[in-house]
Amino acid sequence: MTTESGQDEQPTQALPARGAVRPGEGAPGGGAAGAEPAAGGIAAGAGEPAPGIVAATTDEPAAAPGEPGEPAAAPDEPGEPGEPGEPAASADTDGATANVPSLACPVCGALGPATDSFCEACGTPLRASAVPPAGGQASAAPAGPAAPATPATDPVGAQTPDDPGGAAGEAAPAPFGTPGSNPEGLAGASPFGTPGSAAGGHAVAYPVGDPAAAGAPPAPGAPTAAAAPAVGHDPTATLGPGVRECSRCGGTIASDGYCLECGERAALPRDHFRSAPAPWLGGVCDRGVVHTRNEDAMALAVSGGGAVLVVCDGVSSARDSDVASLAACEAAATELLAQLDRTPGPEREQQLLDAVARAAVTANTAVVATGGAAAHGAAQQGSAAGADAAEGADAAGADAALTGAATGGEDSPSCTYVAAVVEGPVVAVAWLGDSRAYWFPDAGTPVRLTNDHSWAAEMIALGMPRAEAEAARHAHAITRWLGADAPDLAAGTTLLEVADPGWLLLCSDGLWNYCSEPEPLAALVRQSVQEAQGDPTESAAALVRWANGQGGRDNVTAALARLGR
Amino acid sequence: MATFSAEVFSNQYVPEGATDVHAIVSVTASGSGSGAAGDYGATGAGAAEIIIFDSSGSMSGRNLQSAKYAASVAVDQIVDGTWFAIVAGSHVATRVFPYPNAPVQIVRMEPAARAEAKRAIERVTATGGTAMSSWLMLADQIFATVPAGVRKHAILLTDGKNESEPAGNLQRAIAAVQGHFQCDARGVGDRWIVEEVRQIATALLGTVDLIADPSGIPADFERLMRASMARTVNDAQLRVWAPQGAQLLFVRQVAPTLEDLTARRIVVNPLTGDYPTGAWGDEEREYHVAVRVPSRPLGAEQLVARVQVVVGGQVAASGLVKATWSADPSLTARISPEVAHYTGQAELASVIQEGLAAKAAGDEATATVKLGRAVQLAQQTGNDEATSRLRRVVEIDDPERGTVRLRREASRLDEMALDTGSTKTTRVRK
Repeated sequence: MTTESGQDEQPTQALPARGAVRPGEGAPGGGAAGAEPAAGGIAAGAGEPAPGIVAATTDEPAAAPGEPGEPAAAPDEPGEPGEPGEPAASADTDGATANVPSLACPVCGALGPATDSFCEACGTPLRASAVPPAGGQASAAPAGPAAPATPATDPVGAQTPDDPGGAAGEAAPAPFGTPGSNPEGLAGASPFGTPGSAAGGHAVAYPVGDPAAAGAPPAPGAPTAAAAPAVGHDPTATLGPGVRECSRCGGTIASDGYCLECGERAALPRDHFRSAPAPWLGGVCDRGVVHTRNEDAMALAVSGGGAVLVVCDGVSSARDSDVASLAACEAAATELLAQLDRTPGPEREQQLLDAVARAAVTANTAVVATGGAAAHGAAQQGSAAGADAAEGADAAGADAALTGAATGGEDSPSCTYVAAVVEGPVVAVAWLGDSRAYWFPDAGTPVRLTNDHSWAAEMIALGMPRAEAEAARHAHAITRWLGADAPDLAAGTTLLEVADPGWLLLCSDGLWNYCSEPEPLAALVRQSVQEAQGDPTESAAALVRWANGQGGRDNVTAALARLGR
Repeated sequence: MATFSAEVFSNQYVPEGATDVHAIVSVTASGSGSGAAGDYGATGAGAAEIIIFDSSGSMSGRNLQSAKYAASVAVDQIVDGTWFAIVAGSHVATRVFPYPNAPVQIVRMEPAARAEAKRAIERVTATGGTAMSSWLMLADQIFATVPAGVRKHAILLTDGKNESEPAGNLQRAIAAVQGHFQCDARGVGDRWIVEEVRQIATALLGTVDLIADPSGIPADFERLMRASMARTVNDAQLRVWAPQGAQLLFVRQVAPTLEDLTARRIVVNPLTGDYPTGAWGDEEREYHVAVRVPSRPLGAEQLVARVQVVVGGQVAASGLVKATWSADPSLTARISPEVAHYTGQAELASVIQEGLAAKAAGDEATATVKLGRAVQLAQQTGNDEATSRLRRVVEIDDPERGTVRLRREASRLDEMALDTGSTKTTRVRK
């Protein structure tokens, strides 16, 4: 499977980048920050193409109404209202290209910079001047013997003295000729001629309109707004504004949201995003192959020498868990960033542990708050949700069964939680559910830092043999989560003192399901890091790619931090 | 300004390993200005019409009388300002109006021209044989003198077989004029060859029909001319894109009539082709597009076809055909009712034509099987017109199972009616 989904997707940094690129700014607005991502999540969902039925009108050759504003909204998202300070930052980084408007190709609808002369996708000339004139010359009727050109509008004007027909004995002034009378001498006397004659017509010059007037249409308003992605450090922003690259074949994404070459659906910003707040910290969150929505979420941020990593995995049996997971990440990351900026107390390690556990409660509040917003989103996302629900035949189905049985409220948005706050050599980790943290020292034994809140894990703790527990139908069902129906918000916590260099990994089960044990996973991480030449974001991307190569049966998130440097 | 819209009917969910995706794309044009008759001259846009009627010796008597009257009726329907000419065809083609020695080959309609044209039609007498290639070539030559961008349409009426020229001539003429003008073709009586006339209409984006009795010609001509006058959108193309690595299996118009467009592809780029659809009024046409793509993993979604309407180089409407590979049988087992309906209608047309061909060749066993299947399909797809036409050719014992017996006494006219009507489809029962 080639789903290195949206690897070069420009807008992908949008959502989590909020916390990431502006360390410290999120501190005062904890509550508001929780609400924002919810709105973003809904917008992304609403932009999904409506399956089956699409219609367009003449007025909007480029816009497929099933996807209102999607191409515009996507790259624009980081600059949404309510984010003061963003525009300035984006102007700095994108000044070179931000002002080039994009134009939709009138023939194939592909978006391209207005400065282009030809459509990249189909080769159609994009300038009015490039449209070849379709007319303009007088088209001539087969020329008669020698008669002068006679305008069709002047039927009598042809009564010239030097009538080429010669025998003009019966020159008739009647415009239609005179049926039955000597036809030969009347050639040219009437636009309709006279019956019985075999004489030809005259050359006639026709006024020809200007069919070339139709040039390239004015750029539709929406796509031009796509300029200026706000995330300054996007290394993949090589394409013009508004032009998106297909994650599957590298072709151009048309304004209808599908690749012009291979037909792949454009990755929604929510489907695949990356975060790279520091050269030593990065992550990738991806829809995977099988699921139709990405219910994983991730938020990474740095402040001073410290860092915050949060990964949440939406419970796919619950409605709008994609919104919930993002809200949880944003809320937790915001609170933990504020904690990093606080003056360290005497019991700093305990302080950080408490903070990372308490952030779960804050995240839970954010998740519960999405319940109201999610109800609105539900109508717009109906089809996607339906498809997802239909897919949850395996692990997710078990989740649903257990969650539903335990609480009777399986429909409320919910997600898992794993967070790490890094300060100096100290790493404090907290979790709820089955998203995990691992520590892979360059030298030494790799360790799993978390212990799943899952049915299997609890059964093992109670003495059931591991093999039996993990083979059970409910093995993957989680026993703690964030959400209105959360049974227990007491997060598991652990503390790590980093002595030697190594990699901290936070991931969702979309990754570890294919490689659970620390040893092989460490090898996989080492290999990915080597492939990516040490870049954490690229390494995470390689891990995601690997998981998708194994089948990508779930959403995949991997966040890596290089510690002890 | 006309507005186009496109709606796609298909089951987006395909099972694991599936490669073929079928979709019906319904294209609707509205606001084309139908009914705003009379402003063609004023707008400078407009149409050119040529009426071609058979004046061979066989036409003498009632047929020619009716044809001449019908031509006059059609002339009455031609809106002032429209370019028009009248051609009479035998083994040669003759321009009836404008008179052969006129300075121009085609003129704009105005009251005096209308009166004179009718007088010219009245003068035509029946003589000679039938060589339709010359009729088409003359019409083409006349149309060539009207300004670019003018919509060109002809009505052709014949009563006989194309017997005064070598067989290949007509095909060559059709190929030569294809794309230059549209032509509706009509046969009167039972001595013309359906296949010959259908060939003309199909290639020239027109309709073919049988007029059993000459008294029916005027009403038909009137209807044809009215319809043509209402088609103000010139030269629309159906544009179909399929992804890299895909195979476009076929592109078919399935309503209001069945036309296989697959071979008419005009390459736009390696992934995209245009299929000419001629002129449009306010109407709805439906297309069946079938694409074969490499299978994708479960959960993958991709676009398998973009179906667009292109007018004057601009995309006027766009429909997206998508596929999502799914393991859920409740999603993948559904067959789009539209796809099923038009697949049945296409088979109906082909079994009727094959059945009649078998019957003509004396192969009664094959004819019985084919026409029996036709009865069954007509029943299933609710094509009552086809059922009633079939009933005149076969005795229906069991329409559900398609059990029929060939009627001994079936008239040639009934068989021709069944043949010409075979490509008319009914819409999906909603």
